[in-house]
Amino acid sequence: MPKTSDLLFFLKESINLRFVLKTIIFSTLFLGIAAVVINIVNIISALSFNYPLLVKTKLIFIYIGGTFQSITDIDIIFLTLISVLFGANLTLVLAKLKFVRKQNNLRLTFGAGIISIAAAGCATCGLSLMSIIGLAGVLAILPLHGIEFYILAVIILILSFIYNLNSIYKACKIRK
Amino acid sequence: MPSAKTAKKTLTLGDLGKKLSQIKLTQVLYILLLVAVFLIGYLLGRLQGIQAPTVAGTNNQQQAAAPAQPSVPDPKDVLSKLTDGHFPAKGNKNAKVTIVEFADFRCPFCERYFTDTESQIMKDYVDTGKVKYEFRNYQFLGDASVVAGNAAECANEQGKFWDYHEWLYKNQPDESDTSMYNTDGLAKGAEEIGLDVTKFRDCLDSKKYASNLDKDLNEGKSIGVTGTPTFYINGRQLVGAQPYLAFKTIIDEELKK
Repeated sequence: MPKTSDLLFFLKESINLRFVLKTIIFSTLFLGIAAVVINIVNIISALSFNYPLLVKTKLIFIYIGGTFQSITDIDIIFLTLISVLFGANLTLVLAKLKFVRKQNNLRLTFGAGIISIAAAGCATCGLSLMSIIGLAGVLAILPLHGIEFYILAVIILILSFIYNLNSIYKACKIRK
Repeated sequence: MPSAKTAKKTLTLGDLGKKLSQIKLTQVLYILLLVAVFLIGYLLGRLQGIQAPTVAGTNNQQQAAAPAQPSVPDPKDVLSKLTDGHFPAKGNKNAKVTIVEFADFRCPFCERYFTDTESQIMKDYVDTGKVKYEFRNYQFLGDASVVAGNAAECANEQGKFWDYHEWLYKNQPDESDTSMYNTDGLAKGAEEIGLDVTKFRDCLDSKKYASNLDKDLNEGKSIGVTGTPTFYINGRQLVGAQPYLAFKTIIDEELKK
């Protein structure tokens, strides 16, 4: 396990304007994809209406723009947190790729990159999978009615962030 | 003498334990990240503005708990299957546009729609005679929802469905709190809106309108309702507590026809 002092040091070293900007871009992208996934039923429905293209487009933007209005406060908090963590993870993975490529050890890094990017894209798969295997009912028996999954997702993303931070730190040290 | 192929296989199996012991934190974390991907997908599904069916409940509720499929119902098909409903419609009966709402009185998203959007639709379209508004009792979030649905039927018996509908949403507790969904708790609402409480209590205890609830639930299922709130605007489906602008855009487009 990496030392806390090392992590804090490298966190301080890593967080610069470029890191923040990239994180914001990736987080926004994640939120955008999430909004599309959340409204997928209505978007497909709108596309099937025999309305002018402009009206269909307007409807889709209304659905996406209204996402945060139609979900609960706790969902907004966790979704925002997850998107920021996702953005930060992706930024780190891409930064790591820059170092690790030269060590001919690209496989794992690419794997992480693909998995991170797939996080948003696979949201639909997750939904379909959960529905198909009937896990929607699990919510009813969980004491926090599904908040547990949010917490677990946040913990996993934080662990992944710490790991990425540590490994990029090691990569930098090796490079020096 | 083992063949080269078998030898290779044995060798691979022999190495398996060694390889397993060589699994690094890296791989474990990537697996965890993959799990996170599915969890996020699941959570996004939860956020779709609709309520996932619960496991508890009656046969009808279990039927409603079928996996949600993102299919788009054909408006013509929907209109052919929609009945006039048994609750009084609001607005002009000959209006060009009809909105049919399928909702559960315990669903927080239905409450959110009621609080944020419904009054604006009523003011701009229903009260002005442009839209006819109907409600369907889609009580699928467990026994407490069914009790609330029956109470709404009993209020309807005394001609005050819409008043009671408003009371139920304005007094909706947290989703996990079902303490008010019994005869005593719901009779408070009946009293507040001026119903004959004794008659209301008798009606609620007898569950005399249970078949109406089944009818609405089955009607919803037949046209593709998988969660609440779900709306049909001249047969065009709109799912979730969407902003007023979404309703306005569809209604205006239907009024142009």
